[in-house]
Amino acid sequence: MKGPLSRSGAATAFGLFAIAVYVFLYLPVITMVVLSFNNSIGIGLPWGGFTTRWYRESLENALARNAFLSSVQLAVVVSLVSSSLGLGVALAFRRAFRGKALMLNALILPLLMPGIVLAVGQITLWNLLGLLPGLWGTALLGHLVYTVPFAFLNIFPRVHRFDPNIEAAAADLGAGPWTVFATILLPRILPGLLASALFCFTLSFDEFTRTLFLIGAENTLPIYFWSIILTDPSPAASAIATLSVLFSLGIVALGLLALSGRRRGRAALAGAQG
Amino acid sequence: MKLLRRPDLELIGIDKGFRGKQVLRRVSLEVQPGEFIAVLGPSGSGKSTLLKIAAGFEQPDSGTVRLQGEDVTAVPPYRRNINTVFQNYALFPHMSVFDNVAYGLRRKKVKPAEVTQRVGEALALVGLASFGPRQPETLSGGEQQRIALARALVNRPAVLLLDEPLSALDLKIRRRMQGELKRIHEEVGTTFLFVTHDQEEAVVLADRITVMRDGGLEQVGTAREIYDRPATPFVADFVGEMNWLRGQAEGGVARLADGNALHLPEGIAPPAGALRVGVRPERLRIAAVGATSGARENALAATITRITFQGPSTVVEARTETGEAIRCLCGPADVAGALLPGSAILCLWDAEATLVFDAAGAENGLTRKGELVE
Repeated sequence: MKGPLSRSGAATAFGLFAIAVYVFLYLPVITMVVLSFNNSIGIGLPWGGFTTRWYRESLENALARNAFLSSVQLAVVVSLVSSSLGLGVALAFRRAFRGKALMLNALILPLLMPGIVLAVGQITLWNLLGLLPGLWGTALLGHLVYTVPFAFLNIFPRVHRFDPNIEAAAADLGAGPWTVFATILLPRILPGLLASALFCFTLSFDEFTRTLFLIGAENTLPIYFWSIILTDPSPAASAIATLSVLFSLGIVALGLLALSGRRRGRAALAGAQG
Repeated sequence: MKLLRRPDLELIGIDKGFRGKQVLRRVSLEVQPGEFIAVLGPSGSGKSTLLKIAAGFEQPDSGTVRLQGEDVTAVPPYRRNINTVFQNYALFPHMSVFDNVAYGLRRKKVKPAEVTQRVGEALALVGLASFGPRQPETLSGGEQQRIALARALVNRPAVLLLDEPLSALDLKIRRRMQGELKRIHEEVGTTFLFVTHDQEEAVVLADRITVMRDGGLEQVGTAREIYDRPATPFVADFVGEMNWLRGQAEGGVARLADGNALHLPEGIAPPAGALRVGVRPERLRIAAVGATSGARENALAATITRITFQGPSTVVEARTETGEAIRCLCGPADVAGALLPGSAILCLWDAEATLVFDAAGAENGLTRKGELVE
């Protein structure tokens, strides 16, 4: 006997519900992508026919290109520096010491603070210290303050889970501290490091609030996007946004490919040998 | 003339404390070349710390570690010619079995052709010649254990340390690995020092046993010496089973609690005052009430409380007239016929099987196995 709500009925309801969630999540992006091909002057309807001129214009626009390059460079540096710092702190947290739990929480707490508060705090501090706003000074620091806790959260679990006996075994077999790190620990935590690098890259690449306060007269892509939305809202803005989303997705896809490629490679190796 | 040999490993006056707790006190131990020596003790006795100090993972607060005559106290583990088999094997999870075993040789920049050859020999030695391409996660516990052994032995260390090497294996595989370890030790002739809390394992494997307790050495000797002539009540209780009886000595004459004279081994004089008298369960012989004991035999009247058939042997538990619980391990010939719970019996044992300690030994917090069984 079936219950009052038949099993297949419930499944259908949940299915529809899930589809609604997906639509809700993706409709804004799809709208933007579609409108980036709209041959009209403003963002939005009416539909004036299909065109790729906004893409051509954006790609030829030196300001947009520079903003994009600044964003990529900044994101690369932020990604490398914050992953290195995150790794260093994660290694420091392997030891037991007094107040360890408190220190751990203190490291994660900034994630819960509003970005705008941190941005204002920073610009005030840098100002007091005589540091002028700019891409490679205040903006870089501001991004690092934002991303280092995320880097740590990606790396620490892997470092923490690693059995120190395995490193002791390597030392016992004649490996000095650096060799132990390079041949034993690093290969095992590499997925965490990659995930951290990827995550910090996209966090920095998309960051807006902090950058707005900290960048001064320079541009990143989100800042440039914001400025043209304010001053000259044409479908070119949609084209730039679409390109930016594509780029972010490409980076994530590359990262995932690297991670799964490593895993597949190992599995294939084990299969071929075993 | 006795040939003076240089010990492979010398631990001299080792002291070690952690956070104000003394873990090792004045521990000295010499391990001779080719010896298979066991460090036996309950958890917390300091045996693992002693092993870590020998390997170089811990520094002693004071004392000296010598490896083949050379002072290595301040030498880090990666520069000591000593290798360890870890309790949980600690194989490198991201490397094949071959790369695991080759790891030490590659650190020493051994030529690839020689690496291949020596790894092959080491794998053959532990009976896993074809396992080179396998990944550690595909191996059983016993196989991982052997790979860990091959990975250490391939480096031809002066001394091989084994930290509870078999404790993670189930009983049947453990028995087989005991035999394997002994065979491998005989084949390579390397000095083995292994740490265990399992007295049976120590007795089966080791040429000599070091019994540790509370950070100090209780006794060093062959399995036979330790079993037959334990130096302290702790050793007597920790290695094998022991029946403990109360006694008293006055003017060189020892008596049991029932007042009967106690015959001691030749040349042993009892300490004056209260005594702890020990007899191994298998040294007790059950006789009918009224049986006469031999001239050098001790006798104790008791009542059977329980009989447990165990296959090759039978355990007879009894209570003496003075209230002490005793266990007697009997062969099939000893318990023929009319033994039943409630039967009055006479327990006999040879003077040579009697161990006697002063009462101070009794107060050192022993686990009195004989009385736990009641």
